[in-house]
Amino acid sequence: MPSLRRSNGTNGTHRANGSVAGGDAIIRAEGVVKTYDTGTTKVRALRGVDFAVGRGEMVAVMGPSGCGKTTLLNCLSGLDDVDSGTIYLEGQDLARMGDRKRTDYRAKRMGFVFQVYNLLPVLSAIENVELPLLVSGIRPKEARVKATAALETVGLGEWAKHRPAELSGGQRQRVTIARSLVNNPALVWGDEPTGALDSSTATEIMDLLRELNRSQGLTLILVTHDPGVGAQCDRIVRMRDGEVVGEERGTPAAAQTLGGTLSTQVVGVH
Amino acid sequence: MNELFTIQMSTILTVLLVMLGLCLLTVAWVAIRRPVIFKLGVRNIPRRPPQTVLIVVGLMLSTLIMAAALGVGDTFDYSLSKSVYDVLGPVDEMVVSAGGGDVDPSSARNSTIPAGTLALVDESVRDDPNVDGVLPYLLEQVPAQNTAKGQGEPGVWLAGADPERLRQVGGLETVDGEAIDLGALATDEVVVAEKTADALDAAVGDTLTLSYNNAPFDLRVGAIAGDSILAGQLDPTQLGMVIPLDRLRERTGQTDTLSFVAISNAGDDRGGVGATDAVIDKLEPALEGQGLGVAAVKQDNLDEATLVATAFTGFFLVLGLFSIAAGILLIVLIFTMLAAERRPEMGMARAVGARRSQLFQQFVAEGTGYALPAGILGALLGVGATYGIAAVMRGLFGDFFPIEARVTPRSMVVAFCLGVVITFLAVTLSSWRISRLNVVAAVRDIPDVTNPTRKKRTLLGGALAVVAGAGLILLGRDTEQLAWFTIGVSLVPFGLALVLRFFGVPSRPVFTTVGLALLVFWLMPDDLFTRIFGEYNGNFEMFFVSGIFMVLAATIVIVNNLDSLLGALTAPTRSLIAGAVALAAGYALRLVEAGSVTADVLRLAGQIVLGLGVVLLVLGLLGLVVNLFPRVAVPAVRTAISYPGAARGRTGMTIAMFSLIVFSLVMIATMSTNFSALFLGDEANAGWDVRATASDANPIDDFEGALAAQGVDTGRFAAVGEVTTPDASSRVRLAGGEFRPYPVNGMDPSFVEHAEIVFGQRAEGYADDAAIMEALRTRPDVAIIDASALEGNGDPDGLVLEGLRLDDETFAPIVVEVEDRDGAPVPLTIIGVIDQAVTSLFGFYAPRATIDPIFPQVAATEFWVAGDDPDQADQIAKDIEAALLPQGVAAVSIQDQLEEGQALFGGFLSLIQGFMGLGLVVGVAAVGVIAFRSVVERRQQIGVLRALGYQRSLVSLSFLIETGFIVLLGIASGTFLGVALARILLTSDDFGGIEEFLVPWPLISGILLATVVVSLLMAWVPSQQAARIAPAEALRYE
Ligand SMILES: Nc1ncnc2c1ncn2[C@@H]1O[C@H](COP(=O)(O)OP(=O)(O)OP(=O)(O)O)[C@@H](O)[C@H]1O
Ligand SMILES: [Mg+2]
Repeated sequence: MPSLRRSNGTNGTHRANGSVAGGDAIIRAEGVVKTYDTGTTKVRALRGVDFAVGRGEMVAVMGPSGCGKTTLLNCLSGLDDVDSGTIYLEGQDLARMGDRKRTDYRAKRMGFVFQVYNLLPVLSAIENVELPLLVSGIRPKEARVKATAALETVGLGEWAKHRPAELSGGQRQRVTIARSLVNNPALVWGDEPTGALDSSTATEIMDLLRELNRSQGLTLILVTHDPGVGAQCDRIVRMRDGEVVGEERGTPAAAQTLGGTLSTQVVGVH
Repeated sequence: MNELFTIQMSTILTVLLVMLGLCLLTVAWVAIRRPVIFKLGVRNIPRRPPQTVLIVVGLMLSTLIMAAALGVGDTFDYSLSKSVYDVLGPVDEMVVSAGGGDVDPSSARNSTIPAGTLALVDESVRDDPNVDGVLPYLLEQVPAQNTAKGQGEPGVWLAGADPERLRQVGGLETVDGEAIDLGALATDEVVVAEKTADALDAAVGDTLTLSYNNAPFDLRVGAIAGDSILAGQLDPTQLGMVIPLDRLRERTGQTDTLSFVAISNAGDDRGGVGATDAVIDKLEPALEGQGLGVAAVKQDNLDEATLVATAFTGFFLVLGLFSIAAGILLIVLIFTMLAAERRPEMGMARAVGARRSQLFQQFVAEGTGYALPAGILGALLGVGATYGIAAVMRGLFGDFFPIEARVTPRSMVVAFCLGVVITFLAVTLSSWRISRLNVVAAVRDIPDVTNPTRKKRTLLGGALAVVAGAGLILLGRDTEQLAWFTIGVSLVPFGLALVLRFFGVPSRPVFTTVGLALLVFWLMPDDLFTRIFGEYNGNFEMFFVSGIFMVLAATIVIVNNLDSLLGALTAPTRSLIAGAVALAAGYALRLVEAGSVTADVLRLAGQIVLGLGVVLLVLGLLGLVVNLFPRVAVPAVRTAISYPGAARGRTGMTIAMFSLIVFSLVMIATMSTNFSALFLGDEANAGWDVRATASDANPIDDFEGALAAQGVDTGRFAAVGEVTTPDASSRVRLAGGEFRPYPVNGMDPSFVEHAEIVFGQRAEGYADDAAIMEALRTRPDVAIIDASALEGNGDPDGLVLEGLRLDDETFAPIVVEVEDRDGAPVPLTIIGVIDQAVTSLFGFYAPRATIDPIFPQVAATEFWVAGDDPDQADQIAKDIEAALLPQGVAAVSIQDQLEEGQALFGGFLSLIQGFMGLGLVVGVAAVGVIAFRSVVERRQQIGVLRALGYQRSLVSLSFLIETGFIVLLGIASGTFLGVALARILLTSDDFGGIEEFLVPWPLISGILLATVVVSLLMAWVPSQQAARIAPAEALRYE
């Protein structure tokens, strides 16, 4: 899987241990507030969230439906604007980036797996996977090679020419994951990446993500309802009613609760 | 407008009103019996205002086009008949000289009748309550000069009228309606018609110098009368003035002749015409056998006005059919898309118990809600279009007759009903299809699965198409009608394709083959078609039929290969190779020796393959260009080209719309360019530069001498020839046949000597054009004739050289007989038919030595002048006219005259093209509807793209590229088909086989560029909407 190998060759497994300086966090958010105004009612979806993720960390965000997980993900990735609070992406202030730069940043440094609506129905699996590469200016030929490799990684090499409508839900989700990884991102956002999958497929996918996280130092932020998924992460962030209410340390073996405030829990790489 | 395609307008109106009534009753029934469903349907209308506006605009276009076509008919009908009433005033019939057969009132211009005719007429209509006036008239055409103002006219009709009798029918009137008493006119005064006064810049009191028999005399303008035959103005293009009959007789010495006797029927100017038949029945016996005839001038002219108006409406309607067809496609497209939008909603409704018929009714209610306002809007805008067209036509035809826009309420109602009924039918059909949805698939919004019943329908439809096609082929064979035959031949492969589909053959190869086969069939040159299928009769309707089928075939090929065509942009190498292979294959096929039917069909296929190769190469090159901009162009194109293939129905319909309209526009533009070139070719003027015409009122014996006497330098003249026109309406017949009116001319030796005439057909024994001219010089019994006498090439009621057609080259010499003044036949042998390219010669030409004895009286002599320097033609014409104006000589540069005629024709064609261009609005509306719809449909997908790193500009660029490609494909297919069909027609022998086929690329590119730009502007608004979609929002909601 040479195409997915990071050029800086970040190695190794990282555990959440010890505090890190803010500069080492790939993403740092402080006091993020987001209110949806539907005209008739105001929904306070995020009520001052502090949140930080270190490089190479694999974090799960969990909480009841409607507590603001997707909103958090959208705000932190720059897909949505916040009302107040600051967000730093690899040290850059998101608020100062402007739409063009954010978009560019997403193309080059981020990968996404959304809760719903992921693939373009009019494109084949391989074409879907290629898109992030093409938009970053990679030559079509090279893009095709990388996309093929990415599809093979998720075990769908045979299905490259099929349209999403011809794939099962699980297969679609795997194509989405291949797409989120194909541009060698620093950071991948997953909103219930395994939600639509049966438990054995979900395990396969999680193993894959875990493997990528370990071998390449990929940072992963996953929203999930599945305690099994949470348990495989380095850390679990608990949310309720638009606020972060607690954190636990996760391990593949068992979930381990951690106390303390966020700032002391953030784990960095190197 | 009383008739359309030979059906009474009142019948059309009744039928349409009944149909409209049925439509409205259906909807009313829904409204009353199923108010909830009705409300559900109608409620949708105000939901998305921009979409509703686009839909109404799209729906109204067919109505607009029909209203405009009918309005043009009304306008012509009104304007032409108004001009008939204005010119003829109280005159309903005219007694003129006639040699048997049809009575031609214009013979009053050059033939006279005995003075005793007046008494004869008086006698037969005395005490007839139908007649309230009998008016004797004498006419002479004279030159007139207004010396003080420096204005002159070579030919003005000086009429002599009886003041007393004139007063009985209401007399002359000024433009302001004041009476003019001709009897009270002083002896040196004249009443001048308004148009003539304008031409001479003459006011009451001005002195005009006229001339008769080369003797000048002065008359003062005593009054200016409205333009009317009573004041000497024979038709709107002529000039006239009038004095008392006695004085004209005195001046010309013609005491015992008249030009015509006019009869006024009882009743006013408009009402009297009803008694025409009764009056004619009474007069005819009295005139029998005296060389006299009575012409129903007013009635005939009114009939002709209606005929012309009907012809124009038909013409506009047929040309508008392409737009109307595109409009119907648009309606279907709109409703299919509305259905797509509502699919989940409708699926839910079905799931909770709504019946199919209820969905259907809901859609029909909504459709009618759009159709009614669209119909009203279309009819109103049609009135506006009529006024626009009338304004342009006034500019073009102003010299011939004044055009005044007029639209009858009946036409508007017909257009409205037609528009609403068509929309209703299209909506009903689409609704019926839509309502047959699969509930589960609809709720989950996934594609319908093919079920066994649907497959059976395919088989049934296929079988039906084959049977219908076969039936039409037989009908076509039976009636020898090209339309039936070709439609039949085109239906059969469709049917077979459907049958093959039933048996599981993949659609792409099947339909591609069918499409290509149909293209070969429709693009077959005439002679090849005839060799394979035999002779058929086709008319103007074939333009429409062939257009529809060719566009259909091309669209099928395009839509079934959309991924390959568009894929070329992302995989240029492959398409470059494919293009090269196609080119090679095409060339190879073109190498097949022409001759056998198979060989010719292969060669034609080669041409089409060549065309495909070019398209592939162009796309491949475009693909290379795209790859030059990897960051922007590549991702934008990638998304842009994937959507059209996924929605083939819409894509196909849009391509077909543009293709149809562009096809018709390009076809007309190409045809007219080639006709113009033909018209203005080097051969057109027969080797002469200026034509000067002298009338018998002031004969000129020595043309060059007269000019020299006036100080004109005749040294510039290379040659002068004379052509005479006899003083009678001449008639010619095939030996043993019936005499038919045909202009006969006499050529003097100098004309024969110096004319450069090209012949399209030569009699056997005449090896070249020179041999024919040599015979004309040396033999008195030979003649030549223009190409309109060829079979199928001119007026079938005139002289037709039966069996001799445009595509012949030689013929056995044809003996014809010219009728002399006593009705006796004089035999002459036609040895050559003048080529169509010689547009300045018209009629039958023989040496003067032969013609002069047949027609001793000459009405007019034409002097044809060739100059040393053709660029001097205009100056020479001016010099001649200035010098010989007192003798009434009118001179024109032949080239100028041809160009003017051409400009008129060209202007008219531009108008037609503008009218047809309205159809492009249909296409552009379709682009808008689709683009707006796409933004809604793809909201989430756009959200995904934005998250993946598509910049806003990239999203909108992708939209524009998508629209641009669809429009370009439609345009390319339409242009190819239009040029190809024009080429086939123009190079076919039926048109005489033009030598050099011209394509007006600048004009075509202009039209096409404008179309693309407007389409992109239309798509720009939705593309901006798409760019503004906030990704987080889009990804959240359904
Ligand atoms: N565009 C919006 N307008 C109004 N309210 C919104 C909007 N988006 C989200 N909300 C509200 O904000 C709150 C948080 O929504 P969010 O989608 O982030 O929840 P979630 O934690 O992702 O839930 P789930 O687990 O069900 O996906 C909810 O109450 C939701 O109704
Ligand atoms: Mg969510």
